[in-house]
Amino acid sequence: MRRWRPRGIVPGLSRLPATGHERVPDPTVDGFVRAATRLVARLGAGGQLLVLVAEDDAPDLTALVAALAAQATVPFFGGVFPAVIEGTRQHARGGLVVWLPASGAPRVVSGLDRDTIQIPAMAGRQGGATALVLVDGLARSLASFLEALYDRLGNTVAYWGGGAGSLRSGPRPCVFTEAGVFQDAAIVALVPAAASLGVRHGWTKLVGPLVATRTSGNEIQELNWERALDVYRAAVAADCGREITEEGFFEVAKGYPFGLQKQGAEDVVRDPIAVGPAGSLRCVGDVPENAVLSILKGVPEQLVAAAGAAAAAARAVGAPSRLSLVADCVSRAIFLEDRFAEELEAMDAARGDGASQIGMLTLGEISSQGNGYLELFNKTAVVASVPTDEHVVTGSE
Amino acid sequence: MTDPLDQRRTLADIALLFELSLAAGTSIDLQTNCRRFVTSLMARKNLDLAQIWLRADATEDRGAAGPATDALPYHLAFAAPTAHVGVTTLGADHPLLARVREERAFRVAPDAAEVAALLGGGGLTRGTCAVFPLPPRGFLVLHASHEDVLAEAREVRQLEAVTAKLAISIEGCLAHAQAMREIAERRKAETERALAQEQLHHAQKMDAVGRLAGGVAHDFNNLLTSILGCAEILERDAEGDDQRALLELVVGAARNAADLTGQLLAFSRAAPLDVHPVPLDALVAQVGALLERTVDPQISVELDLRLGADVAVLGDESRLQSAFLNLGLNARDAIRGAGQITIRSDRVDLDEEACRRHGGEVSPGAFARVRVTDTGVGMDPQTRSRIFEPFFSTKQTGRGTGLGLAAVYGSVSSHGGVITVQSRPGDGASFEVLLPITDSPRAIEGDDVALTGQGAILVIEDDEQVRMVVERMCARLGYQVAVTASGEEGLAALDAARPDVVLLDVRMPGMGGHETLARIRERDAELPVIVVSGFVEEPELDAMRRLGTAGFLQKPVALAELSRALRAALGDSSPR
Ligand SMILES: Nc1ncnc2c1ncn2[C@@H]1O[C@H](COP(=O)(O)OP(=O)(O)O)[C@@H](O)[C@H]1O
Ligand SMILES: [Mg+2]
Repeated sequence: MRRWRPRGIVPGLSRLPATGHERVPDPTVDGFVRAATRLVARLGAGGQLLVLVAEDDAPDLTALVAALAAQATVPFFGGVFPAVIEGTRQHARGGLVVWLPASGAPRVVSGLDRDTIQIPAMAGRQGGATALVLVDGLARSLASFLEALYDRLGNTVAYWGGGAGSLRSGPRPCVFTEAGVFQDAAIVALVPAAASLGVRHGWTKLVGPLVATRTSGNEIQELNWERALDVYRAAVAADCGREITEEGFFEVAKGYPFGLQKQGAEDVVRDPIAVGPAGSLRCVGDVPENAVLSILKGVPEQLVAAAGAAAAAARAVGAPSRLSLVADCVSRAIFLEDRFAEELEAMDAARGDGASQIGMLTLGEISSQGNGYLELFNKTAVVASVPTDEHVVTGSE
Repeated sequence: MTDPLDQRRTLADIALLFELSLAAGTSIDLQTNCRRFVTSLMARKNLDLAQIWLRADATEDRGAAGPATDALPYHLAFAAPTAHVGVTTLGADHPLLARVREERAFRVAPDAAEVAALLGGGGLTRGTCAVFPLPPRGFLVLHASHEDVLAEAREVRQLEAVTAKLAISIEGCLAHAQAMREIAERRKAETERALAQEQLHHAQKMDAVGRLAGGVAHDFNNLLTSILGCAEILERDAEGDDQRALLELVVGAARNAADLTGQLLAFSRAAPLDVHPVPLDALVAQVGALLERTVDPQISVELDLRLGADVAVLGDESRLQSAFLNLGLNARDAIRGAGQITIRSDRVDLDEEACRRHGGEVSPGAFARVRVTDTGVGMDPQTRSRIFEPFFSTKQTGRGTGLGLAAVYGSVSSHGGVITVQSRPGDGASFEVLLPITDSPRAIEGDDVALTGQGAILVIEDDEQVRMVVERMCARLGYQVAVTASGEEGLAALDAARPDVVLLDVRMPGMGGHETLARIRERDAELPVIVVSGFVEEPELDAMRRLGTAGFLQKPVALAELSRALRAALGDSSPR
């Protein structure tokens, strides 16, 4: 099988830009500012900073933005996530600051709670580019946003990113740039090099096809012309060996998501998270009416293997990469529990290029799946290898 | 890789086709319908791009006699993403269209000549394109970078089944849009017809009132002619300053009365025009200067004249002058305290559409536009709708006659122009006059001197008083005069002795002026005939002009005017 080649990078002809990062162990504004300053001192002011903040004891974001705006001399953007990833470890406290080359300043797209979304003027770049996309993972109109973003940039860039926010504390401002902290918004930052991408989840089909005969946005009201909950319950009960109650729904459902068919790729996962009125099922992400669905089942070994496959698929061909960005679904961590460490190890090992693996646990993942339609994924691992010769790690050892 | 009996795959294919076929036709709005279908298609089939193209007759109204459908271009009707839109129109001879007309779907490399121009934005050189006809007048272009997508002929055949549904749903959307267009057009036609009716009513009303006013003015003029004539004659013979002063009063009052009937006549459109090319900027400048002298010093008069010295309108300068003066005086009256009157002139070219907006009262061409704008009290819609009616005035008795704008309206119309007004209460008013531009300009001139002369004059006039006055005037100017009281008498006198000039009235019992002139022409094609009348409609005067006239005099006739007309008719080298 052919791999997705980074577009426009001719090895040996152009010097690739360096990248760098620093882990911030203590969740203080000061810690983030110091990491940012050190990175800029090492790598210069010609880039941008991706600031990933872990949820536990997170510093006040407004204060963080003010301090960074005052002291960092480069544009920055970021968000709060359930955890950050460095190497094969996840951290629910502290965070990461990542130095990346920049193509223009990060753009804020607001109004993700509305139906029509205005994307500011942006253009891909001759020679390839990657759009890093952070969204408020709990915003209502994510599908419309991604549709509008793809309409604007098309295949001229590779897309990598995911949803910020907290499952614990619900909707609130969670993404930021030097312009402020935003809720119902997205941030798009362009890196002037085309990353190569890998997208996998490893959930396998249990039941299907089923037709979502009545839906509304992210709510499935009917499956096969019957109450969605009844159909789902009947399909899953045999496999899980438990009664599915409305209260205990999430406990069971986290292991049995829906899959939307996608040609040439795994199904796109739609996570049912709650039971709505009249036995409807509420999902993360929209389900179009008449969509043909499967019910998927998670087997830990297969999930771990799939994450590895995603990393392997993203391994740059032709251009070296010293930086591997990972957006991994928080629900995978919840499902795999202690075995989630195996997933991070599998990714690091499968790539086998010794690149620094950096990223976060997300509420929904974003990728162009190596070209094609831009979509929001659930329960998926999205890996981007950024072409680079050198990756600097600063901070006290 | 392709096992025709692979059950799992068949099931997956059927599921996909099921979903897609239900995604077609979910809306009667073309864009929404296309977007919903394409969104599902792109997501499920992992596509990069979809474009829907429609032949020009899908979205444009085309008469039955339009070109053959094969000669029509195609336009891009829907595209996702717009980042990759290349060309948006394909000429009828584009090679892609020949293949589309064969009505079978086909695959093609994205860099092939047929499709390369359709894919803009870069980044789509790899992968596969597929083109699906959307009969009877469209096609769908898809692009996939993914190597497994659109890879097999069988996949394309499968999709043909769904795109056929899309084609039908698009026809439905187009039919709906066409119906909506027709309804909108009918509505537009209805409002236009209502507007035309209203304009017609207005014109009819003005016409009726105008005739009435014209009739009154006619009789009045005859009276004034004799008063003025007698007074002028007496003035010459008067002895002593007392008599002369009294006579001057009589003449002055009669002249004022004549001005008033002049206004009435101007409004009735019946007064014949003394037509010359009039350089309009110079005329408006004179009006501006006059206004400046008459208005309160708190009111400033601004001129912005952009027609240029060579631009003239064919018209009667005194009537044009009084028209603009009237607008200026109304503006003055509308301003309380301080304010500004602005007169602007410029040139505009009106096309068919613009003329239609003016109620069809003008025909396309170059127009001089004069706008008189004030910062006064403005008008409410009720007032605005009545201002051109004669005797309509909101001013207190003694201040307004209500004839000013009626006269302006008549003058402008008889010059082939239009007048419109824009005003809101408290927001001032702006009157816009459009007059057709003519080519040759002429300097404004004028004098009051009565010129004496020699020769035999035959007067044909039914009104005894007028006849007497004219006889006296001619005698006073040194001419020999014969008078007759009807057309028949006049012709007899003419047969007896040929005069040098005939002064001919128009409105006469029995043989009227027009017929008399015709009879004169049967006898003598060269004889100078000056038409004298108080009330002649333009078409009749035109007809008489065609028979050959040596001038026209408006009653009441002033001595100086008569003298000039006679001199001119006799071929004297005096001006005019
Ligand atoms: N510039 C103007 N601003 C406001 N009202 C005007 C203006 N010009 C005319 N009018 C209105 O139109 C009416 C008719 O005007 P007009 O025919 O000139 O008669 P008059 O001036 O004798 O009243 C005026 O009485 C006045 O109500
Ligand atoms: Mg007036």
